[in-house]
Amino acid sequence: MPLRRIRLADHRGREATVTLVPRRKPPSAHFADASGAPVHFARLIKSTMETDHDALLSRYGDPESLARALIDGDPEIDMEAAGREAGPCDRVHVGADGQPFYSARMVEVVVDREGNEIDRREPVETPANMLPDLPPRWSGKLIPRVEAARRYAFTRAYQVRHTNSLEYDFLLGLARYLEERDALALVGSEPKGTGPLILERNGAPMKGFLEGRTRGETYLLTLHLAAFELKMPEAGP
Amino acid sequence: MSDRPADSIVKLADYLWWLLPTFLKTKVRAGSLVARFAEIWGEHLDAARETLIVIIPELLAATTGRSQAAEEVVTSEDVFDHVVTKVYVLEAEALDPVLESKLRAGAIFRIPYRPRLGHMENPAFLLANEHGIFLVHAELCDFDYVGLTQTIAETDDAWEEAATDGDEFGFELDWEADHAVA
Repeated sequence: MPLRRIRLADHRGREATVTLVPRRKPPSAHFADASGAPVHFARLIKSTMETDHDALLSRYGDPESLARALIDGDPEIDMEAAGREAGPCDRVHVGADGQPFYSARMVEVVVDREGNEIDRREPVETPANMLPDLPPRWSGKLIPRVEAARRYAFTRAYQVRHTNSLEYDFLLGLARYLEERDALALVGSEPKGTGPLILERNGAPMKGFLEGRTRGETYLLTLHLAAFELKMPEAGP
Repeated sequence: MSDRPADSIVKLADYLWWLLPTFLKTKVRAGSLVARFAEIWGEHLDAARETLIVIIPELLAATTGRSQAAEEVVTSEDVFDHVVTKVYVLEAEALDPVLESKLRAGAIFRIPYRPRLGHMENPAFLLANEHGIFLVHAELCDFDYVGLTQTIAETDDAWEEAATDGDEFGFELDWEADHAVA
């Protein structure tokens, strides 16, 4: 997968398209059996469409009869399929009658915090905005590092890196500027450079902040993305 | 002109290679040679397996329900070395006035946090703002400083999106978290 790119402006009115490097995947433990042999994860079939609750209810007519059948026997278990390894799976959308849909119209369903549907609308395609056609603008909004840490939940981070010496000068200068001010710079979309960043098509809009550090002639410039502010959740109705 | 020693070694190796089929024509010789190789490789495999067993990481106890020492973070850089994975709003049953005053003054504390028994050690940060007190669970970014000469290896961040989206087909990590106790 190619690395992401972002078009950035700095405090000197210069701009460049630079590379975003994601954080490394943290190491995970591997599981082994008592003899040291590696174990693998497998998806097993639990039940089939003929043995799910709705199918059994329609077969037995009412919940009382279904409960009696469950006590007397094992109609919920498909002896041929249950416990078998499923292998590679594809997601299939099915209707209320359990039959697969061969063509479907996607609809965006909006729900409230309790999960109740409040709106239904045509989905809108939202493009990513990391590489705008027009030159980006330096927002000029700096937020002290300590304040940012206490105000936002930074759920994603990318290291901003150069691919040539001109970009190196640009990013080193930017990192040095931010370090001297012990602050993060708001990086965003829209004419003022304060709008949300959308990393991928239909991705969640996030607030972007640049944080810079230097060590001699090396630098560490990070794009921190905040999905939300640290606030108390609103009380329910 | 006389041959160099290296040429003689090559000639000898050639000669031995030419003799090898004749040597292996005898079934007993061939069998013993294969058995010897198998024995050597078997020993290597056993040693490797022993090593694998030895490096099984130690399970770390869950921190929930037990007192944890809070360590004051010296700089906010420590917080920015991490990304947030979960946020909890805290409603304190009792709050030490000294701790509260430090939190209100902007101090950030680091706390060991593991909701379940597991192998991973990730920190949580205790902090406060005008909206309340929060426990922020985090994972290390592990970024390095870069200079003029550097190379960028192509790395995939799809794992991060899948982990945050809760994709039902990428269930291995969930399984690990949910079954670590078992």
